[in-house]
Amino acid sequence: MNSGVAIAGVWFKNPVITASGTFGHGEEYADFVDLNKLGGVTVKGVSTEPWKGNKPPRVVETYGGMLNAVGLQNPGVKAFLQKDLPYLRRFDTNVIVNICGHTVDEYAAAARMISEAGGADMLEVNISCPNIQDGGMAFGSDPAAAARVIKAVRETTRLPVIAKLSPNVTDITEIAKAAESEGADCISLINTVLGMKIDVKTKKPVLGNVFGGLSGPAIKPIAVRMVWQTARAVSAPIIGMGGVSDAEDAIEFLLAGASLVAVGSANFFNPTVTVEIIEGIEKYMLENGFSNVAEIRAQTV
Amino acid sequence: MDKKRIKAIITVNAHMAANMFDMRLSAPFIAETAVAGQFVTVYLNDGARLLPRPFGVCGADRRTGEIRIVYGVVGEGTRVLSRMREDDEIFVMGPIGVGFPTEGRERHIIIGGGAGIPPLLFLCQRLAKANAGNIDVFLGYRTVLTDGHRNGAFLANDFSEIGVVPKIATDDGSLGFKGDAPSLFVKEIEPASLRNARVYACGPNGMLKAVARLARKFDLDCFISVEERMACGLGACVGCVVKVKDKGEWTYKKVCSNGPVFSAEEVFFDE
Repeated sequence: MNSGVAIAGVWFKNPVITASGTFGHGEEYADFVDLNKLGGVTVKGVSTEPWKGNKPPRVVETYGGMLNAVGLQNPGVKAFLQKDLPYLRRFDTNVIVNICGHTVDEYAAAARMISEAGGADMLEVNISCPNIQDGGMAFGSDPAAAARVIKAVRETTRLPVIAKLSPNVTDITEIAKAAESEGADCISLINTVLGMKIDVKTKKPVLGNVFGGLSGPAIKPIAVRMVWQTARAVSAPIIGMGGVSDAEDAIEFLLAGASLVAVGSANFFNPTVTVEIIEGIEKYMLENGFSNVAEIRAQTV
Repeated sequence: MDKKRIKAIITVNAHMAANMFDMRLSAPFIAETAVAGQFVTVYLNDGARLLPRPFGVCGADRRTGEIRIVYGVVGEGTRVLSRMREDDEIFVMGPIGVGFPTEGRERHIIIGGGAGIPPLLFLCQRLAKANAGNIDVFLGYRTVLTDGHRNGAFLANDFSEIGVVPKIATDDGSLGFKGDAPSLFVKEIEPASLRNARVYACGPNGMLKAVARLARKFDLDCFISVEERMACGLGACVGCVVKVKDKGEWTYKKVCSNGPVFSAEEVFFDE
C-alpha cells in the first residue's frame, strides 16, 4: 500500500495538503504538526507588494462553519521569499505558493519573482478570492478573464500551475476548461462560498467587509458536487477542498474525482487534523485493499 | 511559541453573578507557563460551533496545575460552555500571545471594565506576589443589579483577598462611583503620585481609548489588552487584527500573536 500521488510531475507522499490561508506558512502549526508528514503545504496568498487586508471584524462563526473577509493581507513576495519560504523549505514536504493580484500583470509579476527565486514546487493562482475589490473572484467568474490570468502566468513560469476556482459561478466547468486550455496543469476547488451575517442586536453586518467567504463543513456538499462535475469536464488532475474535517470527508473527495485533498478551516477547529486525516486514509486503504490512491478514485469514474 | 493543546478536566464551572461563570481547569502545562495577559482557547466539541473560544487567563496555580477563566454567557458557544460539568474533559490550547510587562516599575495602575477584568486579576496577583510596589485598581461594571437582585461586583473580592481593594464604578451608579473606570481613576488619583507609574487596562474599546488618552495626558507608560473576533488563535488566519502605527504609516497586527497586549501608544482607535 502506498498513499503517494504524482500530479503534474510532482510527487506527494500522501494526498493531503493544506489549503491556502488556513495554515499560514506552516510555522504557525509547527507546535502541533510534524510538517514532514504532510503531502504539501499551500502557503497563504502572496502578492508582489504588501497588502493591508480588510478592516475588522474579519471572521465570524456561523452554523457548521465560518465566514472570513481577511482580504489577503500579506507581507508581499519579497518578505515571503526572505523569511517564510526558507522556514518551510527545511521540511520534507511540497511547497505550493498561492499568488494573488489586482491585475493580470500583478499575477504574472508575482509568478516570475517566485519562479526566479526557486524553492516553490508549484504555483497556485488565486482567481477566486471573494474578499477583494479588484482581481480575485472577478477573474475567476468569467472564463475569458480566467484564461487571461492563467495564460500570463503560464508564460512566465516553468513551475506547474494550479488554477484555484470559485464556487460563486453559474457553471464551474466552463472556468475549469478555460484554465486548462491556457495551460493550467491542475485545478483546485472550491474557494469559499460568498456569504453574509447580520447581528440582530446591532442590526448591522458583522464583517467589516459586509460580505465574506463561507468555509467549513457547511459547504462540503457543494464542494463535492463541484469536484465531481469538474473531474468529468477536464483531464487535468484536481485538488479537492471545501469543508474537509476528517478522513471520511477526504475519501469522499477522492471518490468524487480529486487526486489530492486540501484541508482548510478544519485546521482552525483542530490543529492536528491534517495528520489525523492522513492516518485515516491509510487505514481505510488497508481495510479496503487499495494499493494506491488512484484506485479509490477509479471506484466512481 | 510554546503552547500546547491539551485535554483538560473541568474542576469547577460555577455561576458567579448575573451571566458570569467561574471555570477552573486542570491544565498543568498552561498553569506552569502562563504569564499575565496571555489567553487560552477552548474547543467546544460541538459540530455546529467549531471555532475555539479565546479567554484571558484569570489565574494560574503552579502548585495545583489549575488555570482559571471567568467568562460571560454572550452567545451559544459560551452557553454550551456554561452547561459543562465538573470532571468533563475539554480541549484547551495555551498559553497564547504576548502578556503584560510586569517589571521595571514600582507604581501600578490597573483599570478594568466588565469582561476585561479577569486577566487583570491574574496580573494583580503576579504583581503582588513579586512585591512589585504600590498597586491601585479601578474596576468598571455596567451594573450590579440583575432582574431586581443585587449581586456583588464580580471578582472584586478576589482583588481584596490579595490585599488590593479595588475602587468600583458602575454605569448606573448601583455600586460605587457612577460612571466608568477611567473617570473614577481621574477623580481619585493624585497626579503627583503617578510618577514613574505604569497603567494596565483591559475592557471595552471605548474604555481603552479613554485610558490611552489619560496615559498620554499624564505621560504614563500604558499597556492595553485588546479584543477582536478570532478564528485560529495561532496567527495563521489573520482574522483578529488591530490597527497599529508603523513607521509613520499604519498596518494591521494580529491580536492573537502580536498581542493581545499592545503599548497604548501603538494602537489606533479610529475603527
